[in-house]
Amino acid sequence: MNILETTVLSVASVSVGNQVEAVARTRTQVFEMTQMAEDTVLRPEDFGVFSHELRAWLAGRIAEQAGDSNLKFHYLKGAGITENSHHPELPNGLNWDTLITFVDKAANSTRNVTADDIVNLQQSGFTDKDIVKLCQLIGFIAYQTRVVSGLRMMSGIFS
Amino acid sequence: MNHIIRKFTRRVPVWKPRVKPVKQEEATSEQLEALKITPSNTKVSDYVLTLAHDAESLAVRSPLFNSIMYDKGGMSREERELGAIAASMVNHCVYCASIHADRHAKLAKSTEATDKLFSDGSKANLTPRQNAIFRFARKLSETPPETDAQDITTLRETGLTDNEILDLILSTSLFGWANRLMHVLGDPIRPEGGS
Repeated sequence: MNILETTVLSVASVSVGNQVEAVARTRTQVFEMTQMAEDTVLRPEDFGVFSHELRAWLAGRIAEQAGDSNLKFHYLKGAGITENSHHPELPNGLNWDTLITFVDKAANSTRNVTADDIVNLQQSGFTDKDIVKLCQLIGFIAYQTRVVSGLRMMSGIFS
Repeated sequence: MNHIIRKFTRRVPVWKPRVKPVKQEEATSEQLEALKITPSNTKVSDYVLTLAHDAESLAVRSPLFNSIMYDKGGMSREERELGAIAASMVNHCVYCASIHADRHAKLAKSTEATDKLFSDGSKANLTPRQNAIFRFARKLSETPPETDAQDITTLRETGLTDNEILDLILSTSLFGWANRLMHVLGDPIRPEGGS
């Protein structure tokens, strides 16, 4: 794997000769494993009630709210959906509003999540397996957006 | 009766899941494989059994966690823990903050920094280097991240190499992920009558 082609380094504009490139190469394994984590969390074999398209759509929403439209477009492009696409559907009559309320709170206001938020998901029909899968997705995007943000800062890119 | 811990403490609480963990005796072969490596190489706890509901993610996340926190070179383990603590304080993950404050104190052979952080928060009177690290990690953990050019300059001026800064970015960001599992999926409790 060429680590410069991994999502975090390419979206952060770390390229050959960039001042951060040599530093990044000291942690090659971390960038390779980060890419494996993205591939797994966004496109798992056992995707459950969250299709690959829905995961990409949610990832794009979280990235945008974290101020990273480049990452948003990366996620959407990976799933073949566009910014103006209607959100992918949930199966089995699961409630969209319940899902999106939880995703926004866990991603952006983590400190305020309580046991009641988990109960709401359970009472809406989400299984414990669904909930863990959802939290892994939300958590991974939180990680990836911050790594990209930090790398841009190191490179002197402050937009 | 269990008492939920809401204040930061170095006395590590018990983590009580809000969802039912996978029963180890009923785990699939894929789940058992994913459980072979745990974050920080600790025992198979209720936390990892909860994460075993998503065996694919667990299998890739645990090695990544251990690499970011424990690989040799770059930033010291003690200072990576400071990044973890800052993220956990922003996200109010009392359990994560407790575990990593305890580790920081043991690595530093001093409770001074974590005592100050838990009593004074972002106003804690740390050393200039600790303060630059904590401030950067705290700002990176906000949503959206609030770090700016001056934060990087300050890190460099206080003597951090770019290798150390990269490790700080990675360890802090990793806890943006960890907190959204630990704090969201469970409660830090002190069982009544427990030590």
